[in-house]
Amino acid sequence: MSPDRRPLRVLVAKPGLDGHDKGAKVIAAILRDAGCEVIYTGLHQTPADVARAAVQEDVDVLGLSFLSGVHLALTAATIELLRAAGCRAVVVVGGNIPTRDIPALEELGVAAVFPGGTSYTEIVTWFDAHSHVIAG
Amino acid sequence: MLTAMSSQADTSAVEFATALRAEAELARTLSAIERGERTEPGGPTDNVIGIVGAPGAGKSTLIGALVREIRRSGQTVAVLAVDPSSPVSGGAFLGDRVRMADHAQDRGVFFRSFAARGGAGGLADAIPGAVRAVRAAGWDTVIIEPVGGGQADVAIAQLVTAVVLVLSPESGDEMQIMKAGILELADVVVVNKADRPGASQLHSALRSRWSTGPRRSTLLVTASSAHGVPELWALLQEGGHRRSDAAASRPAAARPEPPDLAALAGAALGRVRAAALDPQVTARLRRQWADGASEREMVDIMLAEARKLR
Repeated sequence: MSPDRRPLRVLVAKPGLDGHDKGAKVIAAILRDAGCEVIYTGLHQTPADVARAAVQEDVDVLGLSFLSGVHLALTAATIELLRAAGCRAVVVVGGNIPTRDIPALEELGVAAVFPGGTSYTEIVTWFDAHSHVIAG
Repeated sequence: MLTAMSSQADTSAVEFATALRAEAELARTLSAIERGERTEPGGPTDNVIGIVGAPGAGKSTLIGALVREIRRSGQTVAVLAVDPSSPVSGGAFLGDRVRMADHAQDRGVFFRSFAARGGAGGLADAIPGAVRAVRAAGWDTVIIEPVGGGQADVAIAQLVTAVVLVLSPESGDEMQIMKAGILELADVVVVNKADRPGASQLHSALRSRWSTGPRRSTLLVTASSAHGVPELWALLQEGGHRRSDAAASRPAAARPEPPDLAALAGAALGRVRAAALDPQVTARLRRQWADGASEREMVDIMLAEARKLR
């Protein structure tokens, strides 16, 4: 990320009941190494927990990680609360996301989906390409 | 059915948004302060607690437990947590929210993570302004958690009304305690992980250090089970943490010329006279005299009664 821009603030969140956050932590680490300020909230968050954390932290990007198949319902609920609270954070989703669900997530307002198998470079490149728009 | 469900969801989203409106505004103010676009000149600076200590001493866990105790006492609390920025990438991993999961939906708890961004003394440059903004927004107590540092993180003492130093039995032996630095600036020293071997030895070593200098309160705490945390909050609330040398070590606000001390003494004498000549006090003094009280003891009673006058 170019050094003249302020660091992007990114919240990496694990909504729902699945207990696997290795992927979320790896993403947090590569974004940190790419120059982002990454806030991590831990496991088992409700959509309300995630939305409130995004509001308090005033983040630029909210990254939601799902492995358990609940991505459509919980992404919809999180985005609804987020927008109702006036938070304009860009939402991205990663994890076990079937290709057939990507259009539905985009329909909900998700800016990018990084399904399993996405390379670190692809993710960092996306953040790099969008950081000037996101940070304003 | 579907309509009923969606309208219910809408209602809860509206309630959520209403509850969060003030928080969202404060959050944006903190971002503006962080970007240097805004300074926060006013605002109260009291009721600010700094929790310092080495990485792994248990600062975040202690804050989670202390927040629960503060909420139980009816106050609201905002936590400002600072983690280091990478000197290589400029990025940061801000992980202190993880220990606050129990308070995720408590409207009386606000939490904000800061990257140090090269700020000195384990703090971000935005922290002094952030403290004033948070207090001005009506949060009763502010807790600052600086970067887990070591013996030299003394900048925080200028910013807070109490410094709590968290040590653990792994913090090192008596030789570490003899060294200068943050230990001298701490108002309260918490020996955390009190259930582990070595905690009571560390506690005794600290207490024997105080025997040759200004005393500090030293508490044995197990933050993970909240053992000792009510005592810590009681101590902080009573102001029992204030050091005898606190006034000397912090710059005093500029005040006008001192008042006429002779006139002040006259006012003090007037108060003693009024107290001593109160009919009830006079009757009590006569009884004390009959019971064998000395003149000096009677003067002491007069002074005590004068102190009660408002």
